Amino acid sequence: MQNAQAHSSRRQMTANVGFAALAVLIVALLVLPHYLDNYSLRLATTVFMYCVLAWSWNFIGGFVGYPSFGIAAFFGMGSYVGAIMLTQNMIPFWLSPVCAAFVCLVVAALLGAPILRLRGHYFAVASLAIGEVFRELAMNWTALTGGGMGVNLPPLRSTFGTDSQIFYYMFLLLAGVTLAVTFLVARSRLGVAFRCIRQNEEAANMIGIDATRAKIIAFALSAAFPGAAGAIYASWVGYIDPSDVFDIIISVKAPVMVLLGGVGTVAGPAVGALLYLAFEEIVWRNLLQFHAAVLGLIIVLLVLFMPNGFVDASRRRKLLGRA
Amino acid sequence: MGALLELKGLSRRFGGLMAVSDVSLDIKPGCIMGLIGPNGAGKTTLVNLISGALKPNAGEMWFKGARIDGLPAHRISSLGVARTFQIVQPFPEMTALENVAAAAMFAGKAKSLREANARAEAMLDRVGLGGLGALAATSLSLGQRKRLEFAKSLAMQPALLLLDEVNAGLHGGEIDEAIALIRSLAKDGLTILIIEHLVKLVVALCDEVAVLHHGQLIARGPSADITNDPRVIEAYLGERYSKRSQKQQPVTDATS
Repeated sequence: MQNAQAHSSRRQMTANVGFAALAVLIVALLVLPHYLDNYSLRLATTVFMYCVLAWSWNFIGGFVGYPSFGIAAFFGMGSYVGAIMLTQNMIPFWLSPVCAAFVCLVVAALLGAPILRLRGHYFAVASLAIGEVFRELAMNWTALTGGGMGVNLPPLRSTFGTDSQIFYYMFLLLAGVTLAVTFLVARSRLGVAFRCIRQNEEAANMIGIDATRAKIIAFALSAAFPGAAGAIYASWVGYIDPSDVFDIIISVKAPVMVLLGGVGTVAGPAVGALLYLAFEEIVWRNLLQFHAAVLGLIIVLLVLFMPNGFVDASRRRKLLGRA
Repeated sequence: MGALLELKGLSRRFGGLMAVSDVSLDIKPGCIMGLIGPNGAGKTTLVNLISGALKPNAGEMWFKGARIDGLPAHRISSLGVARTFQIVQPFPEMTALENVAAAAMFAGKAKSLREANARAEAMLDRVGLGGLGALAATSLSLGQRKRLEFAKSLAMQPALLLLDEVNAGLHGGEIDEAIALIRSLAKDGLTILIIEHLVKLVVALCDEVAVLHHGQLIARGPSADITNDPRVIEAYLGERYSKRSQKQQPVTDATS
């Protein structure tokens, strides 16, 4: 009895420390842009964008276990939706990620129904094809997208702060929303359904899980947030063209980040995004000629030695240490 | 006519093979029905049809007065048809308790995670896995995994339970426990369809027995009569043995 009380008060204390740490982190992230030079600010903004992409991929690839290579498709689609609506003066800047997310959500739900019938490699290839089809569309539908000429976006000229500060906050907010949704999904019935499907789809159906519906929701979630990220990215860089925003490397980066951090976990994708950006900055800058080879090497090493990522690996070590 | 499950002219073809051919069968509420037949008779295919894992090519299925053929598996299980798999299929990354709680949560329509967990605990107790809930499902023995399948099905709070060879691979003591469990479930009003190789067990347990052979329903009736039916003996043991046994005494054991 006493033991249980001591245990619960210890847990309470851990929770309090956790909340305090979280509050400090949030305040630090909010004031950070005022102390960073432009280069560091750009890196920090990129980390949040990567976090969004990694958490998004985690819905379909991590929780449900369907290896999607469709992130670039919706990142690109979102950036074009945002860019076109902004250049036509249809909406204010802050609304563009919302509209892009909505469009991507609907398109992904419609596409999900047919392609989520495929499994494993077949699904991976189909999801890869979506991005290629969208890129061709953007390339050739010149009247709407400007084709290969791309789209120029107006600068923000906001009174709230410099453009780079505002983009930092936009991506921070989007990452926060993506994290919150990840957290909610992981603890909900839907999250249980996702995990059951990953482990055994037939058995999941047999215990009353509507696997088709769950998979479509996961796919739509994994499209909506990259869509919003694409819209913010378009304004951030001020110019987009199809080969940039539909770049296949985006579709590869997202799963690599999640594999690096921890598949199907809440914290893993963020850890992976941070590690990946560190690799990118250190390795890329010093090995300009071979960076693709290095990326390939990282993937191979990951698959061989850490198939479930850093978060899982460290947890396993802790369990072993205790036993 | 008050049947819980009614099959009318159900057929399923795999290429040129009629796995289930024109099967009509009704199961009354509270009844334990045995489904026997030699290997390849179509027993598991019939269970796959009823549970929605396969769609029939022809025929109708009615459950609680509603037509269910063509419905997806998750709908049928939510309506109250639970099944166990011949080859056990737990969710490998989950604990035993989580496995059962997941079943309670979806087809079992538990309102909250707390309710699902409470029901899962109760079901694990009922099948004799009390206290093992925290173990990884993959660390259980085969007998325990069979019982885990049982607990999962029960957590769905079904009206009809389809048991596909729950006793295969179990040893004597485990089989006795399984029989006691099935009896106690039937006493609580659950309707059960058992697929079984051990004819002796079916005779002991079932109110009625249906016999499949080459996908066709060749006999049906009270379990005591069915093992004396020459057609059944022929299906299991061949024509010569059937004729011989008719001259001698009735056969009651035909394990395969």
